[in-house]
Amino acid sequence: MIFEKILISVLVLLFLIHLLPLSIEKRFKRAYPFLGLLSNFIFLGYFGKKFFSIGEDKFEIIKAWDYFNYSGHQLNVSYILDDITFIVNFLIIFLNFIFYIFCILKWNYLKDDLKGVHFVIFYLGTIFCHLTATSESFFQLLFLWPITSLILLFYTKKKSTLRSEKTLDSFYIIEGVSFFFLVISCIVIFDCFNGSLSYLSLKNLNLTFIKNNEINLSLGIIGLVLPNIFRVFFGQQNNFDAIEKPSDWFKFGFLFDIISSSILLYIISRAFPVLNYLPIVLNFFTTIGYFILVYSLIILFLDHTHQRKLLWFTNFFWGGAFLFLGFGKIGSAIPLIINFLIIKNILILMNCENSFNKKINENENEFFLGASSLMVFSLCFLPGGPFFMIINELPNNLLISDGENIITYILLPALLSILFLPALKLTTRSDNEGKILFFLKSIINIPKNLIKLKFKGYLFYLLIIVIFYVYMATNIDFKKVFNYSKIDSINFVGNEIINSNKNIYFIISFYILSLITIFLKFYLDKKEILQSRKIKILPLETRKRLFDFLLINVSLRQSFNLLLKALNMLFVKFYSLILLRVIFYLPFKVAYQAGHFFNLKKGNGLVDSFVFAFLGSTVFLFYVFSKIK
Amino acid sequence: MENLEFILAFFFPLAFCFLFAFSKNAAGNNTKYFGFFGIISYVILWSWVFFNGNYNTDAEGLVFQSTQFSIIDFRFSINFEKSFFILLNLSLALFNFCWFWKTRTIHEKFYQFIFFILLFLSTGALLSENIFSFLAFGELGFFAVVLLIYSYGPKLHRNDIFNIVAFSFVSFLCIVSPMVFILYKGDILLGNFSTSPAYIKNVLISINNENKILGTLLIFFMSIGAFIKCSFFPFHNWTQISFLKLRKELIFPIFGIILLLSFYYLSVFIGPLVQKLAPDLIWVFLILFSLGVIFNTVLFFQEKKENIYYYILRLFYIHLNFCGLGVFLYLGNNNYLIQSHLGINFFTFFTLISLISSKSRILPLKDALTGSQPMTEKAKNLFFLIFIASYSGFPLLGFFNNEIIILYNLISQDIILGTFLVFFSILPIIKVLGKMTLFDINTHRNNVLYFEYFNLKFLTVVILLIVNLVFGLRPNLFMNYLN
Repeated sequence: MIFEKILISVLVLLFLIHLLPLSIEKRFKRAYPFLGLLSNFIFLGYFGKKFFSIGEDKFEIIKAWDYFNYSGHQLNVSYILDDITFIVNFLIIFLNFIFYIFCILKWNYLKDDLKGVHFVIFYLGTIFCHLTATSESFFQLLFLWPITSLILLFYTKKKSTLRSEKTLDSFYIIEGVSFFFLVISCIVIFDCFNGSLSYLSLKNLNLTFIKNNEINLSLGIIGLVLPNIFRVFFGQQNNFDAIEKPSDWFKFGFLFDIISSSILLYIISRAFPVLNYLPIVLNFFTTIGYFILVYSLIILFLDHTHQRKLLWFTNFFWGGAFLFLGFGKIGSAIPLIINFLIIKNILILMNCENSFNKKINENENEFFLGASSLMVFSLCFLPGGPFFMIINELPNNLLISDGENIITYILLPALLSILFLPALKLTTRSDNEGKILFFLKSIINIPKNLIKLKFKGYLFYLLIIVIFYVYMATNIDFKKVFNYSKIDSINFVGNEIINSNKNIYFIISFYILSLITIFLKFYLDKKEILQSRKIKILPLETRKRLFDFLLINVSLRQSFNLLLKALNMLFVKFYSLILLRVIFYLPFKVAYQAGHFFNLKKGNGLVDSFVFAFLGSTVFLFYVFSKIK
Repeated sequence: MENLEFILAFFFPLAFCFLFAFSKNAAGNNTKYFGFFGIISYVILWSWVFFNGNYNTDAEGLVFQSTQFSIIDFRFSINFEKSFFILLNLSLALFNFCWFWKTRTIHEKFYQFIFFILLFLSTGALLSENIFSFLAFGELGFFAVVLLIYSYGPKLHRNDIFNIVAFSFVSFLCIVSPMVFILYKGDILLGNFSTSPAYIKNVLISINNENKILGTLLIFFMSIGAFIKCSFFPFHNWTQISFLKLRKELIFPIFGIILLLSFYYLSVFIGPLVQKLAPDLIWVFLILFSLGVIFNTVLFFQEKKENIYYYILRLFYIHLNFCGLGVFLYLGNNNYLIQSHLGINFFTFFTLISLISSKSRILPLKDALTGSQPMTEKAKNLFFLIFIASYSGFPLLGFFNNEIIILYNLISQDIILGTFLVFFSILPIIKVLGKMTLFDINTHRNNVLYFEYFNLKFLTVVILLIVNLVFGLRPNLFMNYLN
């Protein structure tokens, strides 16, 4: 525990040092990325040491605080160190690492855009996220939720948006609804496990218990996962207007991903021992998966801003991951999300760098286009990329769970092949030789451009790409981590033998459809048919309207406010008109009139009213009581 | 004379108040130091009683009992529950000086006179063993409050006073009419009169055996009387008027004393009756209080006026209705939690209103921390934000844990009602966070928080901060102490 105490003291000290440049001088701002990197190395060192020192089982609990212990109910603040913790925390450390290294290397660009307070928020966010992603109980997440909300708000919002009540409303309504789900989930699980909120309660459950508490467990897990899903998707929707300067791109990755995605990953991983035994939860994930796929596709084609397409495009991988979860394949879902998050963040860095370098020479531009195209296409179909994993594994799961051939062999490949269109749009630019050729040329010319350019400036990207591919090559087998041997019972999804031969049809179908889509697009662009048709069928205004309508955060805010307004009006009217005027004041008014009728002393209406009301009410009540016999 | 300390402590404020009435020049025309000395002495006397007396075993302190009719029965005793209420009453009265040390009325003799009378009457009511003596002291206390309102309520119109008195009158009627009927029935059945809880329970059991509806109706009316006194939804209009139209220091007698007495009546006399004799009513009341929370959270969320007074008032009502829920959820050992919730509600309420003026706005977090104000200004803004965040139910601060326990128990009994309530309980947090993070450029002005280090208010702020941290971070400590 002494080691942990020293660690905490150093982190607090680092935070205090963060505050110094804020109050002293701006020229010390350059120290921020170094401080952040130092904290990152501290975490890396700590987790690394634990990873190698805690033995083969890789399981240790560090109890920090006995928060609540009363009549059998126990809530402790503890931290777990096991495989899941290491995976999620190493992801956080990796994302932090590339952010801080980028800031150090590209300080000349970034120094004017990033303020000191951004680094303080980043640092705090990372610390809280490490705390959440090692936590032992649900309620630690509950307590940290509003704090991480505030961090997320200040990280992603700009001053101008913070002055708009509507934007804040959207943000807080979603965070509030999320918090509501968390509270309900905690209460349900607390009840289910007789006063415990530990993640460990989900381990070592027997099938009878799961069967008896199926609804409670399902509700608890859905309530726990849903807020994080909200964050991942609505968080993007809340700040997509924020892209004005290159560094704004950071708002869609890094700390945003660390807080939203990695916590979601952690929770899903913690819930995995029971996930496959809860059909309601599996159905929930499948529905969310399909919804995200279809929704992202629609919104991708409706969005009128070229830059934002990357955001909607990346949603597809979440859709795929949820489908995997729905099919009970957590071992496939987790690497998919991790791969996707790493590629997405590298792409964001490239995009940011490219936006800074608008005035530089053609070679550099071509290099960026080539490198980012490579990354986008590695997202899409290159072996080793997340998409390749979907192609490989998803058809098997679809065949097992649904057995609907049309969905498996036609609809899903068609849906996935359509993704090439935004991918092409993201990676090509106008050129006399033709867009697709230009894109291919940029990829082919990467080595040539790299030699021509200054090696120092691109070392960073090369390093990242090498790290990524080494990571892919080592092929960490997540399925080993997420094994189900502890609950030796029936799998509700089905135990049929997977016929791996069948997915060859899916792959063939996918490649044929992809080729058709690409060539069709190429042909239509060449003939300029699509451009003219688009204008006629969907004018820009209509697209904008449709797009605004489909933004869930806006519609949610509107419906929420409408509901509360209606309730407010109903309450106020009901209270002031019916309750106060009719029920409460009317008897007094009648009494007052009676006082006048009997010609009591004028000008003393208040006393008259009370005297008459008292007499009248007493007689009335006594009459009522005596009648009820 | 074995109860000398009790008699001294009990009659001290009554004797002390006449010093203000008869002395021509009490402490050089500024009575607040004199009053402060009085209240400190009173607290010391009661501490003497608590440390000397064996109050855990219902030892009788003082009994005035008439010979012929035991209806006129002033019987007082102290037990653990009562001592909690008395301590709360005493500490609220003591802190009243801290909160409003710099206000005008607290210098005046008449205010001090009524204040000590109120203290005597409220202690009498809180010690009462039966409803009659409680009502006698309580209603006299209310009369004293009306006198204060008449004297120091310049903004109050005739209609407003009518409103305040009318509500109290209806409440009185709702309590007394069933009581008269119960006594009438009791005389026929048992041959004597009393208003002690045991007597009322016996008579009601007999009435229940004859006609269950009548028994339930009697308890219902008595409860409604208590609800009006406690200012629960939908009977909160009278406290709303007094809060919005009276001066800050006059809010204390109504909210600090009258509501505390009403809560005592509810939890000691009405709560057990409803639980044992009319369990069907529990659901009606739970729904009513849940509606109260929902009503106030919706109004709070939709509040367009920027005046913090409205926000604080709504939050106060939300917590008050939560306390009502707690009383009728019968939490067993955890019942003390409800009382602690009530106590911290009063403390936070008064601290917040003592910190603000009618022009105050919620200062954004950014301005509170990084604005160009001096350090002391930043500190007080930060304190205010911490208290308002705690009051709205922010996790790891004072109100969150208690509310979660109440909600947990409600969900255990009815999942739909509980879930609805959880949803609406989140609204204040959303609203307050929204206000705290809205970078409104106009909020730089009008942020006058009345707070000085040499002011006694500093004491309350520090104590409340400690209470918040203990409740939020170490609930275990408090729970173990209570048990």
